Amino acid sequence: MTSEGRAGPTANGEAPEDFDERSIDILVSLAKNGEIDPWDIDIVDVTDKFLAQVAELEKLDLRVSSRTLLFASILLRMKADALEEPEPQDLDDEELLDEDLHACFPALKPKVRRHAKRRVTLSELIHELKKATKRKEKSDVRRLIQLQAQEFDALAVAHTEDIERQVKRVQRELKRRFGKQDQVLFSELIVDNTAEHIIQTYIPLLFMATRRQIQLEQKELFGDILIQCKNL
Amino acid sequence: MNDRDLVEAALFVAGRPLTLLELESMVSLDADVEEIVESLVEEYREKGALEIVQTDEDIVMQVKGEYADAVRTIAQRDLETPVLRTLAVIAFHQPVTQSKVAEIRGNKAYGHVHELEARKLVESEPYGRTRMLRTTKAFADYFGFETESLEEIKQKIGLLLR
Repeated sequence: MTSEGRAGPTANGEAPEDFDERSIDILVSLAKNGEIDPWDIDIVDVTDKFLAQVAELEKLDLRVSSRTLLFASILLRMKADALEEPEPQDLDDEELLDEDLHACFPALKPKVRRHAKRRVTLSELIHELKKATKRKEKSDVRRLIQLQAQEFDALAVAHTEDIERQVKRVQRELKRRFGKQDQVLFSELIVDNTAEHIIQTYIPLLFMATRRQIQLEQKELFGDILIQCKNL
Repeated sequence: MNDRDLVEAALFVAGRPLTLLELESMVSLDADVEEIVESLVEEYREKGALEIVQTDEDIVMQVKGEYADAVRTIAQRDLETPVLRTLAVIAFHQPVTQSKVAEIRGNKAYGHVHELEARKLVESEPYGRTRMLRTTKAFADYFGFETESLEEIKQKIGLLLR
């Protein structure tokens, strides 16, 4: 399954590069028509003009619009960086400035203070050992409680699920269908669209596939599952 | 600036034992550093909370024993608490595998062991897919153990733990 945000061809067959090109095309056409100055980007202006073009196209595609805005913001950033760059100065001026600074603010000499660290005492070592031991005991108890809880859950689930009964139920249904058709789709077996029913149908299929009674095939991720009879 | 004051300033700011060679590199060529140190040791012995102690190899300025406990908490420890805790676990369980220490102290213990090895308080050797850890002579010196024997160190820690 392809999602909207992922790379790769989209539903209408367009690659992400196509959106980049379309976004650039829109910006280039705005510049050619004199509607924006590429050396002096006003992001609000570009956005407004872009939206007007989109309205003309009567096709709102968020991927194109987001990329257009991204490119506009990059241009704006480049402009801002250029504005931030310091003006080149004559070397003589810089030297004069340094001399002035030294005259006004002589180099600071911080006081030398002692930043000594003391050694750890044996009693502190023992104190930390006690803490480490206590912490270990606590985490052991916590882990034991978690394990017991998991064990209890697993036993409870195994008891209520009764996998073999579910396998037999699905086997019966498949045999009935294979009498009429060569292949069965997983969706055909789903009569109740609840998560519980789907799982109780899917898990037996996995058991049957492991036992080589059927063959499962899923051509697309999250697509329907094709069931073929092998040795049912 | 006289040589005596220079030696005193150096001992103060170092915060660690200095060798005679280090002190000699700071004073004038004709200064007798040993004589200066002896005079400073005497001077500090008589008054104040500090003392200057000279051993065979080096000279250190430190707080006198009777004031040490009172001011100890003010000074920062040279081993951070998590690292110290990992060291305590190693000292008590040694020889112990690194994986066992990580099981007790968590995955950050690997970084702690690295630091302790750099400080030469712990040494390790390959042991299967992990490493076997034990404390060093430097560890024994640091905590004032009279022996390097792992068993004796463990026994002493075990007694103190009760």
